[in-house]
Amino acid sequence: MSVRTRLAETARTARDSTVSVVSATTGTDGLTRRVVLGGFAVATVLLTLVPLVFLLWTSLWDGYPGQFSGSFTVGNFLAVYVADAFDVTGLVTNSLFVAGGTTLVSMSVGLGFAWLLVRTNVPTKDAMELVLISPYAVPGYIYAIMYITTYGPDHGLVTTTLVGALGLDAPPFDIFSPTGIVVVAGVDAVTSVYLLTAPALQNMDASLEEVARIHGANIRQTVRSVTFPVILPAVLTALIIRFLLGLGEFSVVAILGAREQYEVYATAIWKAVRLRAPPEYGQAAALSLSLLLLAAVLVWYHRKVTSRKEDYMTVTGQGYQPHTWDLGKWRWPVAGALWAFMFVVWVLPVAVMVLVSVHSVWFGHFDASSLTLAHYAEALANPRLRSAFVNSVLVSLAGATIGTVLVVGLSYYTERTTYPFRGVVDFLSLSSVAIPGVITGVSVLFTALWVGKVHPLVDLYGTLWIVVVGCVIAYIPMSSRLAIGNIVQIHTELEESARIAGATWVQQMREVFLPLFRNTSAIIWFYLLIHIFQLITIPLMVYSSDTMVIPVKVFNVYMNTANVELVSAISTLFVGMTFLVLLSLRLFGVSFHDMNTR
Amino acid sequence: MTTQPQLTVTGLDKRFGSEYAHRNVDLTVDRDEIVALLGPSGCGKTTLLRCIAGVEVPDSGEIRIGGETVQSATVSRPPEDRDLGMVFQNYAIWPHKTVYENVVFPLKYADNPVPKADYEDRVEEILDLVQIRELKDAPATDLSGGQQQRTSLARSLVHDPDLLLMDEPLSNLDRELRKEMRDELQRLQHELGVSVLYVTHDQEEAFYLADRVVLMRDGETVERGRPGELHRRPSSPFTRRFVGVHNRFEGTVDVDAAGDRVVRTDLVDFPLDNVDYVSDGVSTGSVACFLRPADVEIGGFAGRPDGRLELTGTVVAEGILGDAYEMTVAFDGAGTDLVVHSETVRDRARGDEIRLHVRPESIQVYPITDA
Repeated sequence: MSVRTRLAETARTARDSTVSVVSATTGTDGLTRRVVLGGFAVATVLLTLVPLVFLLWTSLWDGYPGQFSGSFTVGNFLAVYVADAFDVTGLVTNSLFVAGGTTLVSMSVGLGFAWLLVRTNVPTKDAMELVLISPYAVPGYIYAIMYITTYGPDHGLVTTTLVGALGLDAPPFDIFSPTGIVVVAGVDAVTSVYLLTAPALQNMDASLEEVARIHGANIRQTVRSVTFPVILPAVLTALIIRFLLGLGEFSVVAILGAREQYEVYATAIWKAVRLRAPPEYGQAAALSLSLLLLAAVLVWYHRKVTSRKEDYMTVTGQGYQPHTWDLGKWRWPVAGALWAFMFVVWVLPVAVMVLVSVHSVWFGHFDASSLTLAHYAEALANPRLRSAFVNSVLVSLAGATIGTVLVVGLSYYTERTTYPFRGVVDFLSLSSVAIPGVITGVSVLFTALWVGKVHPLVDLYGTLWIVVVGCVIAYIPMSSRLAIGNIVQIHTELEESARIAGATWVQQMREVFLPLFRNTSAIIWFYLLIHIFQLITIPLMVYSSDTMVIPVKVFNVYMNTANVELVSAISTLFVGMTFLVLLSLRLFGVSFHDMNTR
Repeated sequence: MTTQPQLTVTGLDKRFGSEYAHRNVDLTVDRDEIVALLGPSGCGKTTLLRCIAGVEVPDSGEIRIGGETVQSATVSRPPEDRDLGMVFQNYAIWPHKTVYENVVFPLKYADNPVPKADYEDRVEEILDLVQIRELKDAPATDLSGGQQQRTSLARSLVHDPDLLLMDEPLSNLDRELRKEMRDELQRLQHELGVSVLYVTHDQEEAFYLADRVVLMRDGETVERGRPGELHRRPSSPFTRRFVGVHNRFEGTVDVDAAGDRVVRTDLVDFPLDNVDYVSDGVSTGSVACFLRPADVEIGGFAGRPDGRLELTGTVVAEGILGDAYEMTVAFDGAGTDLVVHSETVRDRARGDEIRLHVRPESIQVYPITDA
């Protein structure tokens, strides 16, 4: 595949040319630079490795995490894998099914939209894109609840309407089934697939396709033989990321699978840690390790088949209008089909969520007599809910800020210095992409329990800090790729000329590098803000009654009371807040595509 | 003040892995002197400049700037403590600053006697000198290539550094602008009296601007000297080939029946005594012969008037090139073609038979020593 190799080559030379940089440092400034950057490197290594060490330790320990009087044992592994404390075969099968299914759904729909919107003249594409990327503001657990109120068997608006209109005995579909789970989780992932693949299509050199047309290929043959191979690296990366996230899929399975006791790894680990009394920490840790191994093998294989540099190849070409195919007489039918699809999977569920939130009780249809704003009043007045909102905002602000500083520092370390262990730092910051959120969550929990026993000063368990730290760790891979991708675009000469003009490294950073990196830092900050705000897996593992955040609250209220009306009201407020942030970003000129990592 | 050079590089070695970028490089730049470091791309001249600037660390060797050791076995000063100015090939103008903010930078951070209150005056003075005073408040992103070049030059001179480093400063400019900036650089250097180390692969630039030219090849300095002598009669065939435009053909030195040494080439044989033989004594073996295209005369009459060599060949290509008329002439049984320039003749066609005359003393002959 010569195009791929050539592009990879370009990416490689672009990278290599940035390697030799200011390294002449002996004075005090050299020390500052070494200490500051070394600090970031050490922090990265600690944050990514230490939780795994404690996960391993807990799995091999016969006491609780932090119970130093225990001793090493393989009992947890025997219990999990030999004595059938968990149905491991079933968990592997179900997790692979969910991962494969969501990947299939999200990749086919996401890629289809990306190609149609970027490379054809389908009408109303701007409005479509807006609808397509707005679900960025809707996390998976809210998706699941929205779908229950819209397509659920008992009080789903569409289900009850269909059953009534057609006189059916039973609902025509079941979203509580494995297929239902896969569809909902898959639809949830479409936006991210679109954001991962659209830029590759956008930046593709149109003449590559034109030349195929000129030499006799029709649209379909061109797409198959030219377009697809060229964007294949981006597609493969989206594929592997989706599959890894699917393996760790938690909230949709937990909510939709509850009725039929459908279990995947993530839900089993969660139950062992948070629902069992006493919690089965050791067994949860032992169980986690096999999922971790599965994910690691996948990532290793992905790296083996695609060169690592290729994944992060950035094709630049701003303001470049690619050639678009003419759909001819199919333009409007295609647009109609896309709008119908978007209405069914996104617009209607959101509308129903809002509708449910203003009913005192929801019975699956509009009821004027039941209209009320009581749920909003409760969401805003209830002190526990209010503190959850405050906690969510605090955690995401702190997490976004700490995370941004960390990844800017660590990517400067790997891309701009000749210090040792750059490869290790780079590897660790990237490889934790293979660790499902639930496992990061339990690892951070175990770490807090162990370390907390060492000295009260470092006892973070039960504080918001542990939630913040966990969220930062969870997004190191994605945010560090954003930082590294952009650092290589700043010429090293700009920094060198400042040094030669007399500035120390610190002065240079203040005057040249950081101002030039401000936009990227802002994008990383907002990326982290929005994602941490919505993240459930980490807080769900480490929260205590004082550190409740909204995602956990939504989840718990639904799981414990099935009060869909209140949940819908909270969710509407929550999604509204996220949407406002995204909207203001757009006003500031940051496009959603900027927040896309590869 | 002193006769000490502004820059002294002694025994500099630089390796990338096991590859040598430099081997035992020595170099000096005297006060108020422009030294051009000339060599084909990839010969290590930019790396040498970066070692001097302190953004790259040599493996061994010593660097002294303005009389102070900035690099040795025990010292390695960071770039900001070397009192330098530098113009990068891509100018490295900070895009988020205005012209003024770019130029004032060294005053704020580098060692200099200008008090803070006088920064603005000093910057304006230097902007006047490079003739972009009116762009003082322009954002850097609005500048054209030539304006960026001038900004970069102003920035590198504003704090009156001990030494100015220039890395291919003219290579990104178009032809017209290149000539203009070349003259400008010469004027500035005379007005300011600054010591300059100038890296380029363009021999015209090097010979036009420099007081001394240092030729580099594969990380080693090959030859150095005043532009005039280096241009007229360099001491190595590598330099001869690199400097000026020459026909090059190879031959061997032989002793003929009469006991005289002759050079045998596939074009023509000629006695060694009459040519410009650049050698320190090697008397037989392979030689490289160089002949300027303008030194070949297009002859009318047969015969050998006043000892000139005569060759007969066929025109294989011809055309106007700049001010001259250029022909490429091929010879039966010879692997080498000769390029011939003429001021007068301009009307030959491809395939024409042509007779050429060459004065033996215009042929420079170098023994080929390296394998």
